[in-house]
Amino acid sequence: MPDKLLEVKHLKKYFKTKKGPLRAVDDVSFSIGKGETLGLVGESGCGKSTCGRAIIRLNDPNSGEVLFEGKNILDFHRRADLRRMKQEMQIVFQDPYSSLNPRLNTQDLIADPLVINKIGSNKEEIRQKVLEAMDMVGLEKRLLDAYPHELDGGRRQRIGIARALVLNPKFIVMDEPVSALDVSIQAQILNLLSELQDDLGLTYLFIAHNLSVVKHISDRIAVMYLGKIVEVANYRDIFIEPLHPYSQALLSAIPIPKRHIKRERIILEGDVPSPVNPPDGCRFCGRCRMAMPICSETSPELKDMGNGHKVACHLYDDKPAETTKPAENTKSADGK
Amino acid sequence: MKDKKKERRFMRLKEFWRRLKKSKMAMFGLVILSLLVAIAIFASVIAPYSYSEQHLENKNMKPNSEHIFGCDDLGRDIFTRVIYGSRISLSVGFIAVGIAVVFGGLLGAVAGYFGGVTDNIIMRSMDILLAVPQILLAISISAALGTGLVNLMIAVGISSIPQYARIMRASVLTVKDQEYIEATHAAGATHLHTIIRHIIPNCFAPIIVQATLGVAFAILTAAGLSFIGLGLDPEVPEWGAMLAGGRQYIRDFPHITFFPGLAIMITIFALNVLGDGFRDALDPKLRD
Amino acid sequence: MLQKKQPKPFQPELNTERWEAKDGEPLLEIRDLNIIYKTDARTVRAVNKLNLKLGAGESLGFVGETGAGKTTTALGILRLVPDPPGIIESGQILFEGRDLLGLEKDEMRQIRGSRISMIFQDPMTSLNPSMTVGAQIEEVLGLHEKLSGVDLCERARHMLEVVGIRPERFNDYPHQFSGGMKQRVCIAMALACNPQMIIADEPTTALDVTIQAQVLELMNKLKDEFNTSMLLITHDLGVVAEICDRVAIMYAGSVVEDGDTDEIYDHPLHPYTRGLFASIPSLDEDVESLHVIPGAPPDPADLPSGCCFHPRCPYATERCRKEIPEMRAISGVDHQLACHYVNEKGEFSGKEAKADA
Repeated sequence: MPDKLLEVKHLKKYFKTKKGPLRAVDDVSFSIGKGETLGLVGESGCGKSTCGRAIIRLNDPNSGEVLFEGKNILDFHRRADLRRMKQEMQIVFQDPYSSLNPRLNTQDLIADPLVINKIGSNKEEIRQKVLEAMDMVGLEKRLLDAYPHELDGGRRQRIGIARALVLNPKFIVMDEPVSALDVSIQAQILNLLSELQDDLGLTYLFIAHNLSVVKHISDRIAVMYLGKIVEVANYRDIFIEPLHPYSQALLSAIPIPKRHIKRERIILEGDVPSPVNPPDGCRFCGRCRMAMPICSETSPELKDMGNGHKVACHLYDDKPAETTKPAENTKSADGK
Repeated sequence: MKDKKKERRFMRLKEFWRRLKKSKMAMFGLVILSLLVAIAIFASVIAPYSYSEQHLENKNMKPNSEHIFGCDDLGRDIFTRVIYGSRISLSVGFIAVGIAVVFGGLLGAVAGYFGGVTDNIIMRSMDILLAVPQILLAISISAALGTGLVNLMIAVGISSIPQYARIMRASVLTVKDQEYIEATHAAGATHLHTIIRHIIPNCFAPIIVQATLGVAFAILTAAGLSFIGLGLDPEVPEWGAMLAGGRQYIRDFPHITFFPGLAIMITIFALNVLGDGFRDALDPKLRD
Repeated sequence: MLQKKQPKPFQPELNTERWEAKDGEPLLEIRDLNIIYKTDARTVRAVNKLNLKLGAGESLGFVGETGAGKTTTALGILRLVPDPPGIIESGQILFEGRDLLGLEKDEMRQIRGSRISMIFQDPMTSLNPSMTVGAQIEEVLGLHEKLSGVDLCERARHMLEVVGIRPERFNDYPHQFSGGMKQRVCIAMALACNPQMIIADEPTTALDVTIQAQVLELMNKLKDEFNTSMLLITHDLGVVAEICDRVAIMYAGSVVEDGDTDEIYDHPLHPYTRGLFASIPSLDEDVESLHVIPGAPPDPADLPSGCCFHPRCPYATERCRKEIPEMRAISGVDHQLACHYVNEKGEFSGKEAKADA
């Protein structure tokens, strides 16, 4: 893995509710290398968005550390520090409809972060920066004065991306940036994000529930279930050989737009339990077809199975943490 | 560039205008209101006499060709006084509502945006104000401050602050959860920037509607206060005060109360239908 | 699995009549349907000369992007297009041999819910939060079936069981159910009167992948069990591959390609369909960048001339700009499409005119 840009250690974010704390993110640790994309997948309510937002301090985590270039940003309290941190860590939101202020035009929307951070001394300079950002995301210059409601979803999302880029960040949280878009537009935006990453050396945390999208864009993928990361691996390994029973079920559930492929489908029973009172032990034990007595007693730790493939499951307790594995996995069709 | 931006703003106004135009009633209200404003501005040109000049020989004169609305108990020309009255009524209405919108809107925005203790303190104080019937509240404030045009505006203004605070707070609560507000936080914006640039402009539609209807209410309240002697001196040509003055002659000389009453009625009607039109035109659910 | 014990066999005394097709006549046939939304500022052509066929017992995937007119078509079939501003301008919707557009309001009401029923996208808002789920199923039944109180209740419980919900939950309110369970309740309501046809409008879009898998499996099973035709509206080609016999691809208000699912998935011919398949990130191949259909879907208030897809089509020629292509069948297989450059043998003769944007 390249140099770590971001390292998250034991991050916890609980929300207060009347029934007790809602453990949205419960002791999550991972790291992202410079120029890398980490995909964070999971179903709704698993805490993936909360996690992404906690990292850039859009909500303040209860405990843990977020090391960005070696410094714990959760210790920042001075306004100047926070401001510099927010310039380097940006976010692109899911919904291109609600994430743009309907009363501002493209120019004002993209310029807003500059105005907030008092970058650019005069209007002309700001305008230049806005035009540069628009050019980067492929928005035509004529759209400078257009309002969001006059634009389609793809163009709106481009504005959202330009707004994040205009501050020259190093790290961007992509919070389901393509989920609200149609397939043909989704492909355009995914390509754009890859190009931007190559050109600008960006690092992404890519949050999504669509596994094929995540697989396309990520270098590594972390699977989250009920506030915990259950498996982390290289994007190929996790599709070829998912280790955690939840990852296996999740992967088998993706509808594939191909015929003549008959896969063994693992249908999970029941629903995700409430994060207000999650089950004891492993969070997945109630729905797991491999559940053992130990699963409802102790919570498994993430364990490296070799090649950076980590899994948190008691099934692998006996197996020694491997250190060697074939370095290169040959590409093969998944799940046939 | 600048022009283009203006053009865009203009486009949006045009869209609003197009939808407002669809409602015949709203257009009717708008025409009446514009007429009233014109009359108020050019009162000195239109009015044939002085509003305070007394001609006791014309006492209680019925409408005739010289005094088309007749004269009151002190022989003052009622037409003139009604004309000048529009100045006072409209300015009381608009300024009182202005006060209420600014303070109520600000309080509501702060309460909704920050929530928690701030919200509780502000909104509970508003609840206390709301617990007193608005007209009683206006009466007590007016009684405490004494008579006079400015005091009248303040009394009516303060008594309607809670409504605007509530409306503002409700719309701030919905806007606050939009992702674009989060986006400004992600860019490191201060609360002031977020509230002024992103929240308030998106919360204004319901306030505008309420304000239009509120002007009507303010005019009525002011007239009511003057009627019971808490508003303005009888000397001042205020519609409510004129009604009060003519009350004792209502059996023999109904024209003294009829014309100021008609003026109030027309104004209130115009404002109400216009307010309804605004609401329909601004309602995003009716957007096509 | 979901359904450990098989539900009681279907009670035959209920409305089980199935329409008898006369020599290959489809159950539903839509001919040249035009639906517009007219406001004084603009006219939106939501459905534009749409043709569609659905056979008895068949399931058809109705695929298109946002704004392609899928939902409007569904509402058109049920004659529920909001009017104003919506107007069913012209066309025919033949269902069981009768033109639905010519029916009286009362007759149409008899058909809705009983012969054709609908499942909506959002199970959270399509159930009444102040009624128990049992009462809601009973209500649908009561509208169309002459059943006594006890029978109604019996049948409603049976329906819950059919969709895999314990009948004890009969008296629970919708908020006590999760999203997937609510969608099951909606399915139970849709199937309660044993309709000839179900329109499912993005039934799994609001659900998570693992829950979607549960619901799809259930729908697959019930479709066969009830011998019901299904029109499945979706934007997800994966979902169609799971449960549909046939597929119709919609673009800008009309069907551009339709046919047997296997055939279309193996040999997509229309440039739009091919673009659509290619732009989905694949799970079993690594590609540097995805294939992209340039541009965005057209504004339905201002449709392009000729073939609606021509502004985004890499093969577009002068002819495509001027002439609207006719739907034509590929010989020997169930496969129709509207493109100037495909012949009866299914050969594509278009040439890439401009470089891929």
